[in-house]
Amino acid sequence: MNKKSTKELRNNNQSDAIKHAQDIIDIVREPFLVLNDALKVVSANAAFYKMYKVSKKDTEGTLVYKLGNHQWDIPELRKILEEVLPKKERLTGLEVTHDFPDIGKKTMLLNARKIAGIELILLSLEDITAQRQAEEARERDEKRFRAMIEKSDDAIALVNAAGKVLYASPSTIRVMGYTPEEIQKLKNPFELVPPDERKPVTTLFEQVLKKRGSSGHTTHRIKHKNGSFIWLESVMTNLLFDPNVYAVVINYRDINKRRELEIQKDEFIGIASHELKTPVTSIKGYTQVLQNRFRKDGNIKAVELLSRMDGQINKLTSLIADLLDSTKIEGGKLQFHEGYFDFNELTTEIVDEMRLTSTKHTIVKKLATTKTIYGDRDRIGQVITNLISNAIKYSPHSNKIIVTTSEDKETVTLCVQDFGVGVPKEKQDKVFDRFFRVGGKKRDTFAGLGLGLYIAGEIIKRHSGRIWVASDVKKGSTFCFSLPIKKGMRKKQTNTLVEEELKHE
Amino acid sequence: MNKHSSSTNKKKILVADDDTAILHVMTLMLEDDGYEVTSTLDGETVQKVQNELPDLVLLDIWMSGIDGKEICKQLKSQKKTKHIPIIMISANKDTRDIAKEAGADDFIAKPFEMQDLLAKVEKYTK
Amino acid sequence: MDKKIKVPFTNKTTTKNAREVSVVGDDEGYRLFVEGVKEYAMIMLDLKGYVIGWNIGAENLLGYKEKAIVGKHFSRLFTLEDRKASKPKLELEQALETGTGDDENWLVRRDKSQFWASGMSTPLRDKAGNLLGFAKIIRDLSERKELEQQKDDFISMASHELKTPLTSIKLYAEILHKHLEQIKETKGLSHLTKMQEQITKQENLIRDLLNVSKIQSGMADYQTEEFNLDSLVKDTAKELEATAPTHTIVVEGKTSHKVSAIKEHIGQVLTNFLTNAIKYSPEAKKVIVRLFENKKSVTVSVEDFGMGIPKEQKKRVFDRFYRSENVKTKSLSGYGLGLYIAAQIIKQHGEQIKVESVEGKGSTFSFSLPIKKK
Repeated sequence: MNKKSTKELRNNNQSDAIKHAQDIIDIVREPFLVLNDALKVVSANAAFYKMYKVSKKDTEGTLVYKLGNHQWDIPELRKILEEVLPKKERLTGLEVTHDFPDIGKKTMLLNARKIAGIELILLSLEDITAQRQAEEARERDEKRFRAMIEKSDDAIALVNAAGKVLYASPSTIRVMGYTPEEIQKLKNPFELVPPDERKPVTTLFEQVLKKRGSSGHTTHRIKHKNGSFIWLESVMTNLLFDPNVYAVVINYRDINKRRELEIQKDEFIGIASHELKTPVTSIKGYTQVLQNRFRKDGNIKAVELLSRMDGQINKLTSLIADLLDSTKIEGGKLQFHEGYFDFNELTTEIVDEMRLTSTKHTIVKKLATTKTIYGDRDRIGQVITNLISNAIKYSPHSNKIIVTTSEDKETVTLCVQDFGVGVPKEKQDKVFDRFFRVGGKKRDTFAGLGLGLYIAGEIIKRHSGRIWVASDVKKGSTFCFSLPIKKGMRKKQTNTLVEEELKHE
Repeated sequence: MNKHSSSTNKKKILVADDDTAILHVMTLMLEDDGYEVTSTLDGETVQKVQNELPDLVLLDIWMSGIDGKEICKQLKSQKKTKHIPIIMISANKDTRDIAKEAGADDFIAKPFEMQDLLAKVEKYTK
Repeated sequence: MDKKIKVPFTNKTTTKNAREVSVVGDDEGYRLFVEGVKEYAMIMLDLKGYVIGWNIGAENLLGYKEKAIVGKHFSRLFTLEDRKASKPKLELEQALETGTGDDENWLVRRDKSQFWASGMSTPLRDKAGNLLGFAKIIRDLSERKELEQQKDDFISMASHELKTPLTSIKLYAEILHKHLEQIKETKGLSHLTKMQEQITKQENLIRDLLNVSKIQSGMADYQTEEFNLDSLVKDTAKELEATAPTHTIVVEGKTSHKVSAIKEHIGQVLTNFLTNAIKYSPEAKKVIVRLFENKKSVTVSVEDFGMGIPKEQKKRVFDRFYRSENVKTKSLSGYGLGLYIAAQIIKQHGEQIKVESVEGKGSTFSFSLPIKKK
């Protein structure tokens, strides 16, 4: 074979190949260049012209580096074409980022292949700029999200359905004093809650577990690593079914400061109302001493004035007591002195007492057979008093109140029926709230803090009983409570701890 | 008129409270009812009671200097005074347990009805 | 490519491509988690406060869909008033300055309704410390806010309710007083007078109760103003001197700088100090009020020459109301709520009350307020 013919053949082959290649690259969507062994552009496809904003005339026959006014003089490209390809023949997936003066920063994915025999280089230049930018943004976002959780003031824990901690964020140190590793070693994070206060927290967790996506929050104390007790607000969200999380997310927020302020406020009311009792004691004392003396002297006018005064003093006293009781309930400090007592006897006693205070109303008793029950006699008496005085207060235009007791095997029930203003349906479940009162506007007509029902409700709850109301507006209301008869039927109370602490002070 | 009309037979009651008004009014109530009353604002006086022992002590649970609970314990631990009935007074119903613990015979909460106070006093001085 | 099964927040993974998981998968777990949280609004802001991230919780709480809010500035979540006061900008600045914090304020939903929100901006940095943006985790606290409001209303209602029977008691006592004067029943009259003193005491206690609750529930009704303490001190002294003929109140010294405080409240502190000074020095004839200043603050002290406070009880003068009822605290009961209120007021102004006292010789109560910088 002579040299010339080989070359001709080669040229023929080459031109055939070029033509062939041209056909191929025209249908390829990616920008594509065909270079000869002098690295001049033999051909480019439409995608290339479009993407890199150059014309066919300026491109074909031009040294690749000189394309677009030397914009293509890219060091990485030189390296590929001049160093890598001569040795390796093929190169795939090389990412090159270059800032083109005309078209801006582009990230390209280069694939090059030297075609042996015909000395052509095929170079595809996929533009992956947008893709890369999106990925970078996402990565940045993800870093932000991570930082968001890790730097957050709130501690975050992920637990499985059994309560085992899968992850704890670094803020646990700040919030609870424990490192994330220490939190993960716990059987469950609820162990940090004082045992007697744990129930509401675990109950919430169980509730949240029941329904996918559900969440709930609660306020509770935990024992900080330093031994002190701090108040937290936990928010639990069930993401167990979320394939990306597979956990219940618990968010802990430190609310200690706020909670302490609240407690301080309540304590203050408690102590202030306690303080209020001192002058009222002597005012009452003087009233009664004077009343006694004037009665002996036969000064009827003075006795009359003093007995009216005494009535007002009793009103003041019961307001102060209500105020004190309600703050005690809030602080979990209401104490009970329990024992067995005759329920009907107590009812009769209270009804007789109440008959003395209201001359307008006739209190009718309808009592079932006598039953001894277990509880705090004074407190239950307080409930009955509250219900009757409430009935008196809210039935200014009627004159009858009916007190009924009934019983079954396990409970005794007492109902107080009045024929007064009644409670609208939508407000009936709120009457036992601390800050509720029936007539917003009729404030002056129905004075009193409206704490009576709240206190009654709390006392009954603490006896594991039930309190409710049935009422029709303008026809009257029936307030009832029922109590378990035997001690054994009572559930264990939750705030015994607080009382224990008090006793040891 | 009085139940204890003969002056020599008058029962002696020691009242201790650090509020002057309450002290005054209790004195009036008890004197009107025929008792002989000694009152003190200061808890330590109660401790020093040696001569002329009272027939009953009415003791506020909180006192200046020393608290009523301690005084009560002390009186109840001394041979000479342990027979004297003590009724503790407090504005807090829940301190009833403290009174019991200290060995007091009875407890009355402030503010009280005069009749209730007199009934309790009578019960322990019979 | 390997199928990845992500285990969020751990480096454990079932994929062979471990590198990719620890870099991408880990962070991605956080993102997915944040996006899934419904109870909290989790918002991400860029360096300038433009929203770049918005989870489902934020959508629920604030009413904007992610698409509708991303790219918008977060200041639109603030009330007009707060925007006018540049609160959004200040919040980011403060976040950078202090690193973190907890704040509560009103935020505005898409439908223009407002809610009481907790949670301020936190700067987000990568491991190298580069600022990536800000996170704002918001929780709706309207319910709690309402409860607090109710509680505060409750106290004022309570003191109002307490006043009602007390007013009638007072009136009956007055009528009885006149009657006894007419029939010249002197013995009964003297008892009645003592009773009336107790009624006044009760009135004062109720008033104090209301005051404390007002102070504790914040200064909503009161405005901070700049004023000179000297004239307030002189006026208060004059006022009290008129009610206490037994004592002369001497005012010594003067100050030249203004303070920024709630004038009514500082006036009350002075009144309470002076009332106590007079009350606890029944044998003495004067009370000295001193005014002085240094570069930073103005100080007022009230000295009496009375019974003083035993050393061991000095601390208790202020904190008796923090104590449990079982602790013996009655010995200083006369100082009562007045001093407690004074302490609360000064505390609200960021300062503390000081007391010096020698038993049998007298006490000096004082407080300082920072000088208003020009």
